[in-house]
This record gives sequence, structure tokens and C-alpha cells, in this order.
Amino acid sequence: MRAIPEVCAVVLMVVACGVAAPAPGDTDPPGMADTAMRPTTAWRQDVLVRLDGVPVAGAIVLQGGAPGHVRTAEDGTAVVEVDPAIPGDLVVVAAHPEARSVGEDVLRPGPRVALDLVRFDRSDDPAYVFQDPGTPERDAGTDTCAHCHVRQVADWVDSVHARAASNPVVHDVYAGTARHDEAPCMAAGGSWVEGPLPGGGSGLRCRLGVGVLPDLDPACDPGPCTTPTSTGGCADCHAPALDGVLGGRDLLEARGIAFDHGIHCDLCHKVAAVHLERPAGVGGRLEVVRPSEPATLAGLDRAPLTFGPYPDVLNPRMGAVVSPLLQEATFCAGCHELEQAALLPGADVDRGRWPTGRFPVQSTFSEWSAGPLAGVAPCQSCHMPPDPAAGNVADLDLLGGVGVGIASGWWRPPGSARRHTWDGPRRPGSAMLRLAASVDLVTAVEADQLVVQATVRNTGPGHAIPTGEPLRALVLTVEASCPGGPLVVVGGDALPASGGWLARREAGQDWSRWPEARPRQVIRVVREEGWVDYVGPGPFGDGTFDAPAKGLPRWVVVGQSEVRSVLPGGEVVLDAPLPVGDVALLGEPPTSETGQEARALAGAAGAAFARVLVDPEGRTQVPHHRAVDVQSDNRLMPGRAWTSTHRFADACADPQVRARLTWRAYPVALARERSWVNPDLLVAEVVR
Amino acid sequence: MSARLWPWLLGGCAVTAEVREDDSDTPGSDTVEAQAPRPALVEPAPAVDLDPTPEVLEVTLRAAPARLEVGGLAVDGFAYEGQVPGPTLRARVGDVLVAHLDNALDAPTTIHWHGAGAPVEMDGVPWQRDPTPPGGGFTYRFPLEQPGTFWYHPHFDTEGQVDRGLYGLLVVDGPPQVVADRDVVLVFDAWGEAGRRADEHGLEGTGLVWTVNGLRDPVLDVARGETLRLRLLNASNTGYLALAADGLSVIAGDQGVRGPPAHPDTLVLAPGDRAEALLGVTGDLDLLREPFSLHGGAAWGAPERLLSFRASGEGMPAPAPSGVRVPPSTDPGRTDVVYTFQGDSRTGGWRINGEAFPDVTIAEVDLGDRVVVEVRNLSSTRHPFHLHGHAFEVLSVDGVPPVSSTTEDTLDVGIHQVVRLAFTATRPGDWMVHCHVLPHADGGMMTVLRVRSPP
Repeated sequence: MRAIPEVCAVVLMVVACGVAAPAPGDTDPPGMADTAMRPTTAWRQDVLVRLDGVPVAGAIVLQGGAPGHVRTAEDGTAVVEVDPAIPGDLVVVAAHPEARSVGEDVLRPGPRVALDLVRFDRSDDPAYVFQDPGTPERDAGTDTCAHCHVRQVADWVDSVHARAASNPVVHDVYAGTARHDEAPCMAAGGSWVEGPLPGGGSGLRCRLGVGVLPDLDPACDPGPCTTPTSTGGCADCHAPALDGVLGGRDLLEARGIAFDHGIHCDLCHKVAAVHLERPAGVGGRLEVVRPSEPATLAGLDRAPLTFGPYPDVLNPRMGAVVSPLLQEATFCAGCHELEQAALLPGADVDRGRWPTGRFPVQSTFSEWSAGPLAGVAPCQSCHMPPDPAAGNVADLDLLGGVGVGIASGWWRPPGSARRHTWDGPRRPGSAMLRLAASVDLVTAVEADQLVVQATVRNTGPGHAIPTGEPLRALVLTVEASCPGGPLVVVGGDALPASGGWLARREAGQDWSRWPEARPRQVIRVVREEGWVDYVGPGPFGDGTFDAPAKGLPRWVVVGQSEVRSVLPGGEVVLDAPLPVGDVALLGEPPTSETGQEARALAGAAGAAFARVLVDPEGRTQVPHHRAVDVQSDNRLMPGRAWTSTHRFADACADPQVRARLTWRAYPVALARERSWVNPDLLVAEVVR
Repeated sequence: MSARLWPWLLGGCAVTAEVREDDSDTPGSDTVEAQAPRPALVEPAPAVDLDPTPEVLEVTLRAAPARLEVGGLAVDGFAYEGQVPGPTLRARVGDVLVAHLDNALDAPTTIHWHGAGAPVEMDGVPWQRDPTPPGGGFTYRFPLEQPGTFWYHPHFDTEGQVDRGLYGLLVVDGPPQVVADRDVVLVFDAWGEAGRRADEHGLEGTGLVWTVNGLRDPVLDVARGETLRLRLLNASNTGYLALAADGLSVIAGDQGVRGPPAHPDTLVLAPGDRAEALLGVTGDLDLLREPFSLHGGAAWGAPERLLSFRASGEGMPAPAPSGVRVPPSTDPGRTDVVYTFQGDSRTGGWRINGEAFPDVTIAEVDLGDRVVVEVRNLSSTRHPFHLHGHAFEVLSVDGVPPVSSTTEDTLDVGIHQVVRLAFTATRPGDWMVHCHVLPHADGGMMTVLRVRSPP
């Protein structure tokens, strides 16, 4: 076995980054200029691999840096080709998912090489302290991942994973707080109170609205709450890298690295397995192994352990174990799949609808598993695209080829390294939204009315759209105009409640008083015509639920009026009398400006797609900790399309129709209650 | 057996090839030595015209196993008329091509006339007609209506048969007139493409050794002052070719000369792509391949020399033509067909709209329709989109229209790109639509577009 020059290896990693990358036209491959004694022809090397002293079948054997590998036979032997043309150390490597990879120098053809793998201790040590990932601006040497993995950290630091534990919205939902300053907080009916702050310390916050802690723990209502007994499991996925016991922790315990960096390198690369039958997150589905074995490197208090996709990572600082899991969709299912029982004290789910007593909250993995891309394109295929400009994941190109092989890693073929961006809707520049759906329009003029059929299709993702957090929605608006101005919508499909409303009145209620209203807002009136029979995920599409059980009333546009003014007492002055209908909704006119704050559009011409959770009081689009049922789920499954029809008055010979499909992170009312930034992000816009 | 090669590391080093016993679907190699002296570039021999009528090009294309030497490798491959690349077919617009396929392989085969506008019954696709069996023959006959640089290759076991050497160029001359002293055919191919396993980090398109007209790093003697019209074809299965284009005036893509010449820093030819470029010789010039990966584009690594132009004599070439910009068509806004490319080289699964050929939904359009197609790439590699039977105009790439009207039959679509195309459906029938990275097509990334005839 090669005695790894430990100090040397570390020193090589500390070599200043920024050494010039190999220049175009170099005649020697990088890392090969010092190889005067290097053999010139390839040879076949016999290898014996033992695991804990016993010959092992199925172990990976390869030359370090080679793209291919072989596996050991039943007797633990293998023959591997050693090609001196591969730059860097000439090393044969053995890898096994239960042991750290090991290597042996093979400087020339010789007798059989024995490689001894040792099973790592599978137990998780809660005394371990998660390693600091560092940031592009903060490189603390090999104590931080950012020191060598420059590109990956630069990608990750701007990702939603990095913000998972510090996301103020998550903390507002958790603690029942809002972003307001004191005055608007009080005006909104909140209270301005001292309590624990996200990330540590104590301070004044606006307590307003529902929250995990006040809802689930009576001792936390009213807050503040310092020692909650029921935390909803939020931290298990949002702050999974809390040192100490994993699982069931208070999100407000997250401090320092656990808070600032959320889901970071040393968390993901410590995941040994994903057990789908367990609850989401650490302490459950994600089996995290924090090492306890004694250190063999100076300066460390225990032996490193890092799971990764490559079998030939030999730097002792890494303690690398090959793990195909990191390239599989199952890995993401550790958190992006969540079923839930009723969490509110005394609440229960409708067992007639959900016989297991649990209903789906996040089902991205299930959606993918049931779709056409299962086994074809795992999550990483789209959300972690290749980075062909990276020579290897340790930025060997920045090191200029110093220590190629054991110390600094191997040159990888272009595209081997993957971006750690987790491209998604809110990542600037990400193409995920515009690739998610298409919108198409068919228009016709019938009896002076313009009839528009708008089709929204899930054209690409292997999961439903929207997916993930159930507060998300896709919102389609359809507008028409003639040279003289916009056309009035007079019928056809209306945006359901998930399109957002500011106030709502049913038939029989007083429709003359809207104290919440503001001038230029609109009141839309719809008529209810039965139920929409859509095809959604799970029981919403497999025949289990009939149309009423799918829970989405079909709203048809009746008309709308604009608010001119609001009198004392709440009576509104409108530009025209409200028409008769079943439901009136206070909302806002749509906007065609990209990035504008989400508007309340329910009742307008269009469609919306969302998983709508409902709480025991019948309130919809609630944070999932309050939910007891999925009222409706008309999200578009892979390849599925939905066509809505819209009618406009007084069509001209050449009307123009504009359809905009946007992605919305939070329901309008909830976001405004908490003062969250909530732009509608454009998915597609079609003009005909 | 397959050649296991390390060109992305070579940077000018000698090629080596090793025997790998566990692979079976790529050209075999018993030779490990590199070519020492640089060979002189030889163009593919032209086809022999069997019909004296000027308006008819009649050729025989015998597809047969062949022991080849390709880039210093001894290869058990296939060849048309005993040569790789196959004979270059040269005709003029308005000629009729008559090609007698003689199948001397031990497997069925066809000939697809890539980009040349053959009618559906002559398109060489098993979807329409059974392939020609071993020992059998078939005569392809159709008019050549479009000038350009096209190519021919099998469309049965396409990945395997093209990989082994079955391809050649079809040059159709026609307006506009291009002034050049010499017409030079450069057919690029990459070797060592097959045999990758799915768990090898998705390495397709890497580890390739490039040849030009079957030669590794050849030299072409040229005269200072002459202007070469280069006809470029990337015939590889998976390899993207990014040519450092200094000095090149790119006058045409897949479908002949139109618009002003372009002067890109890098000319990218995806598998199946062609281009025409003028090169005014002012001195020695190396044609370099820039690092480029189907896993995303411009890549790390050192450039590799593919060909040297060795100049002699004196003289200055005529200035490159200027050409006139042709405004691209206006995007009508609607979309008739959406194709989303999906898949991952780690799994080897490739889909269009979630479907794997032949279990596909056939999109239908009517003869005479102006059809707007949106191609979306939601996968982890680039894909050259190829439509049979119809050339298409590029309306936009990621929402940006081309500077000048651009017509192609094969268009590279980058990772996460959205490309909008339009064509007029002029040829009825079922037309294949696929990625021209051939393992992707064979892995399922192929579908059918039906052009309906009037009842």
C-alpha cells in the first residue's frame, strides 16, 4: 500500500491558486512534464482487492484518472490497464461503497498489487463538527472546502440550498412572524415583541399570523418561544447541518455555519444512504455518517470521510468513499418528498380521502418516479448541468497541474464536473422556468365575440409544474385588445382562488362594502358551474377522486368593476355596477411588466395550477404545517396540457391576444400579510 | 474492441491505442503505433458517373466490410466503394441522382441523403421502407433541387454503420456563383466513440481521435494567393468539432450559400453539420480544434491541430466576398410543434417529449403549411436537431433572431437553449426528427413528423 505523504499532500493543496492553466499549444499534457522516467507504453496490471482482509468481489478497480474501471471477480482479483498517457501519478485504485478508496503506486509493470480496503465505521458521531464550506471570499485553507473546490462553492453559495436555514420566509412561517417594521406590524394587527432571532440572539420581531411554533406548541402561543416541544421537523431539511443530535431540532438553534450556509458541502457529502420509508430529512430519511475513527492526518481530530461520485479520489484529507447515490434522484428524495399527518393539536385528516392518515405535501420525487423521465434523467441531469470548462472538481486547472493525482485530483474529461447551482425558478439566469411549460393560443371570432383557447403544457420537466413547496402556483392570464383598446372579458374560464384575492364575498353577502379596497383595484364576479375534472397527480388523476372530490370549482367570468374610491365605512364607488354572480373577489389588474409583485388575479380570464392545502377552518393555501387535506391539485404532470377558453366582447377584425404564464412563490394574501418579496416570474408569454 | 484514446490530454502527443477486449461494437484495432511522418491530405475519390447524360449522376455505392487504416489505426470497418470517406458525389442543381446501393454487408442497410431533399420514399429510413438486406440492392433516384454540401450515410443501425465508416459527401453546385481557385473536401470524423459505459461519468464525446478524410494530422500543399473553397463535414457520431476559424470566411451552412460571409472566432460543427468556408492563402496555417464538449460547449484543454495548410509561392488572394444580408423571417408567435430533448449520458436514456422512438406520438401538419417548431433542450448535453425532408429557417435562438436569414437541416441546440424554427411543408410523408448525436438517436431521441397530403 502506498504510504501517502500526508503533510506533502496538504501542502500541495495549499499551493497558491492562480497558477496559470495549461496554455493552448502546450506540447506536454498538464502534469506530465516531470515524467522523464515514466514508462511509455501501457500495460495490464494484476490487482487483488481485500475488504477488511477478505478478497472482495465487485470492488471498483481503475487507474487513477482513467474514465473507465473494472470490477473484481469473486476471488477479489482484477486486471486493470495502466496507461502512462494519463497525466499524474501512476496509481491503481480500489474503491468500494463501504470503504474509503485506496491506491498504490505502479511506476512500471510488476507483480500483482494488493489493495486493502477497510470498512468505515457506519455509526454517526454527534460529536463531529460539520466542516466550514467557506465562501469565494473566505478561504481558510484546507479547513474550508472553498480552498480547492472553488467553482463548486461559487455555484453553491448563490443557490437556494445555501440559504435554506437563513431564509427569512422560512423563519416567518416557523415562528409566526413577518418582515414588517413596528408601525406596519401594529397596523396589520401584529405585535412587536422581543424574542429569539433567526441565526441567534434576541431582538424585536413582528409576530403576525400563523406559524409552526405557535400552532403546534401551545407553550409557544403567544410567543416568543425559546424551548419548543414540537418543531414540525422543519430543521431536518432546512437546517440539516446542526451539530449534535440530528433530527427534531428547533430551527432557531441554527447558528453560525449551520445558519449561514444551510445545506452545505459537508452535509450532502456525509450522506451515506437515503431510506425512503423514513421521515424526510436528517435523523430520518437521510442517513448521515459523521466519522468517529481516529485521525491519521496531522491537524485533524478524526479520520475524514466524504462520499462522492468518483472512485479515485485519494487525497487523505478527503477520506473519499465512492457513492453513486449522489448522482441519483433518490438522493434528492431525502427532502424533496414529504407526506404528512395532521400536525395541529386535535386535528386529523379525512381517512376517506387519505386512508394512511397522511397526505402528500411535497411529491417531486414521486412525480418524477411516475413520469417518463424516471430512470432516464435524474434530478441532477437538469438541476446540476455539466461544467465543461472545469478540468476537475478541485479546480486543478487553477492549480496549474500541481500535484496531479493523489494530492490535487485528476484531470477529468470536459463535462465530468457538474455545476452545484441547483438551477431552479429563482436562480437568476436559470432556464428552468422557460423550459418548464409552453403556452399556445387559438383564436376565433364568433358572433362579435373573440374566443380564445389557451393551452398550457408541461413540456419538459420530469415532475409536475409547479412542484415542491405547495405554496407555489402557476398563473396564466389572458388579455385581448383591438386598436381601440382592451377588450372586455365577458365569459369563459376564470382564474380560480389560487390566482389570488384580497377579499372575497359569496352570494348573499354584502357586496357594497369593501373596506380593504383601494382605488384602481377591481372586483371580479364569477359564476360557479360545477367542478373542474382535471388530471392531477396521485388520486387527483388516477380515478380515485371524482370531480367534486378533486375540489376545484369551475369559475366562469361574469364581469368586473373598477374601484374608483372607498368611502368611510367601506362602501365602494365603482365604475359600473357589479354584475350578479356567485362569488365576488377583490383583486388587481394584471401587469405585463416582468418581475412585478404578484397580483391578486382570481376571477380574471386565465387559469392557475397549484396544490391547494386546506386547514381545519377551511382556509386554503395555508403553510403545510396547518394542513389537514389537499383540497385540490391541478398541477400539470409531465407531458400534460390544460386548455382554457375565454370570451371577449366587441372583437375587431385583427384582435391581439396576450397570454402570460408566471410562476408565483407564495399566495398573494400570505405574502402581503408577511411583507415577503413575491414577484411573479415569467415562464412564457405569447402574443397573437 | 475499441481504441482507447486520450486526445483531450494529448496536446500534440502521439496517438496511442490499446486493445480492449470487452467491447464489441466499434472498429477494431490491432495497432498501437502512431503515424510518424505527417501524411499528405488526400480528398475522397469522386464517384464514377455511369450515365453520360449531363443531367444525370448515376453511381454505384457498394457497402462492404473493409480493413481500413484510419489515423494510424487498423480498423475492421465498412466502406462505400472501398474508401472512407466514401466517394464524393458531385452534381448540379437540376440533375437527377441515381445511386445503386449494393449491400455487401452482413447486415441490412440503407442510404439517407442528409439534407439533399429526397422524397420520402428515397429517404433511406426503415420507417418508410424495409432496409436493403445483405446481398440485396436498391436504386435511389431523385432530383437535386438545392445547391449545397450534403452527405449520405446509412439510416439503419446508424450509430454502428456510420461509426465504422459508411459516409460520403454529396456536393450540389448551383447559384450563387462563388469565386474560388480550388474546391477542397474536408470530412472530419472521430474514432473511439463507442463502448462507453453509463457509469463512466457520461463520457460520450470524449476520448476521441480526429481524422480529416481518414488521415491523422495531414498536410495540404497550397499556393499563396489562391482561394480555397472548403467543404466541411463533421461525420462523427458524438464528437463536436470546434474549429479555430481565423482566416476563414464562412459562406454557407447546411443548405448552400446565402447572405454575407461570417467570420466567427470558432466554427462549431455538431455531428452531421456541414459548412462551406473560403480560405485565402497568405501563408502556412494550422487548422486547430478548440476544446469543446457536447456536455456544454467550450471546454478546458489545449487545442489540437487537425490539418496544416503548407504554403509555397507568392501571391495575395482576392478579398473575400461581402454578400448581402437577408433579413430573417418574422416569428409568427404561434408554435405548431414543440420538441423537448431530455435525457442524460449517465443513464444512456434519451427522449423527445418524454417518448422514446419508436413509441412516439406523431405530430401532424398539412402539406403547404408554414410550420413553426420550437426545440427545447432540457438535458445535460447539446443536441444537433435534424429534420428529414425539409430544410428549416432559424427564427431565433433563445429569443434572438439570426443576423441574416439562416437555413439548415441540422442545428446544434445547446444545453437549456430554446430554438424556434420554421419551414414550409412541401414534401408529404412521415419524416424523421432526431438528434444527430447518433447514440442519442439510437437511445430513443427520435420521433416522426407527418406531413399530410390533401385528402
